[in-house]
Amino acid sequence: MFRFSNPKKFQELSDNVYPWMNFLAFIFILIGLYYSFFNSPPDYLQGETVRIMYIHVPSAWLSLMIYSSMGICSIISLIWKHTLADIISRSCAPIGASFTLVTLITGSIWGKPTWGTWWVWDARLTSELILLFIYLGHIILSNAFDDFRKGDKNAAILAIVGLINLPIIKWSVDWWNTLHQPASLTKFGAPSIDSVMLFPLIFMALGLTFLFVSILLDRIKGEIYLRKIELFKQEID
Amino acid sequence: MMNLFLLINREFKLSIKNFKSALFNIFFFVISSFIFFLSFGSEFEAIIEFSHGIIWSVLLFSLIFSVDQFYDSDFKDGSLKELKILGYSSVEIIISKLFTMWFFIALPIIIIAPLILYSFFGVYPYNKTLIISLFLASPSLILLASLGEILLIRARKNKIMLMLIIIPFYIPILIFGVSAVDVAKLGFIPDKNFIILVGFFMITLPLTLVFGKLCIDQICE
Amino acid sequence: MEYFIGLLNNKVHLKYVCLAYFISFFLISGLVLLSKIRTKRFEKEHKRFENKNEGQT
Repeated sequence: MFRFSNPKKFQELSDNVYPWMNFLAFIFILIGLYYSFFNSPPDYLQGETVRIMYIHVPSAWLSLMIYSSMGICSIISLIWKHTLADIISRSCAPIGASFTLVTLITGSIWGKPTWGTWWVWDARLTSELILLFIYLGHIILSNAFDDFRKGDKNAAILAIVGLINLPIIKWSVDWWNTLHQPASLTKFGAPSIDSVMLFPLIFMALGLTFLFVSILLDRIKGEIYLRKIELFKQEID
Repeated sequence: MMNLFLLINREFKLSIKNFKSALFNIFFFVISSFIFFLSFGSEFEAIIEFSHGIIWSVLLFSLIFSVDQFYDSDFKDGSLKELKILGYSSVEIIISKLFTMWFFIALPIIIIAPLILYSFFGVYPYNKTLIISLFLASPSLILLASLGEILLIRARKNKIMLMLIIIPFYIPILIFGVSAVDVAKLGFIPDKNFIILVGFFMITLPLTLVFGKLCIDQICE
Repeated sequence: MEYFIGLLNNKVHLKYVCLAYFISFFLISGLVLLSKIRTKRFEKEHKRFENKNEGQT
């Protein structure tokens, strides 16, 4: 299971995989953009603005997926004390925060023509905003320590507490206020949207996921270098 | 069990010695809620509509601003490590601190809140619900705040960091605590909200104990 | 293609769609660029340290 958990082995693997991830991300996003602009019909209710969905919904999925992978990495790092898990969860946080920001901004732009306002305190928007706060807290906490190992451990604890609390927050905010449309893709068996719209959505989601992996590999590389530098500095001291 | 009593005794003595800070906390609560109420102008109907929300939000801030004294001073003068060496477990230390925090920070506020409301509207009609909801929610608020404080013990910290880390986890408690009074206003008994608040306590207690123990063990290595 | 022309002809919604895609493009490409710059910087610094260490031993 931990065959590639050695940073050096992982580095070799990631050097091999990185160009492929870039390539796949490029191709899939290109296909997704083609479908979303040229080959999908306008919605009969929302008109052309439905095209915002093809960037909004995949980045919302990604923001949650990145958080859950961060949480899993934090659990691994607390139980097995793997440095690589710490590195991954630390590199995930800024990417997840950016995708959450993309979700919020595109959502508010989508909300202007459909709901008539830029912002409403509706359940999904609010829980997405709280997710952004949790990401920011994670980033700040992991950088608040002089010794990065303590920062890693405390940030891992925060990530796990967030992972446990996120469904609760989601549920409570749902209870508080609901105005949003129901999820656009609840089950794969019977999606409530047409397959013509499903194509660009899936392609964009896959493309953005590959993009996320490529950014993640890049950041992990930087993080490993940073840790080596810290080790050098400690040796010199 | 004996250890726990000894620790609580110690914390109580310390807090009584530092009674000034507990007083400051109460003072902060009173002043800021008065300012909040005054900012609504003289429309008392509007204030009575939102008064429980004001009490709740001021309570959250005064909790956040006053938890840091408990772990910080103990860490700085080294008594946290000393207690560990003397054989007290981290869980006992955390529980003793939690109980003292609740007694010296949350309990005075719960007692004073109805008095502040009384000064504005006479007897506030939903006093009972408000007090029960504060009573049930304040332990979990304190648990979360102290978890955040433990996480930040050795960091280069400021107040905003603690707020940013804790506030997302306060939101569910705030929602259900405030809506308890709203439900009571509609004429129902908000026992569902109370059960949910107790449930939050059941979730946050093991979280704080497990992760707080992890952190404090690491600090005292 | 007709869908695209339909989008271009829709005066009200076109600006929202363009705005959303532009902003997300800038945010994501900014993230990519920042990560690349960061990695390059650390790589350079690491090389410097490695050379220094070899010089010492």
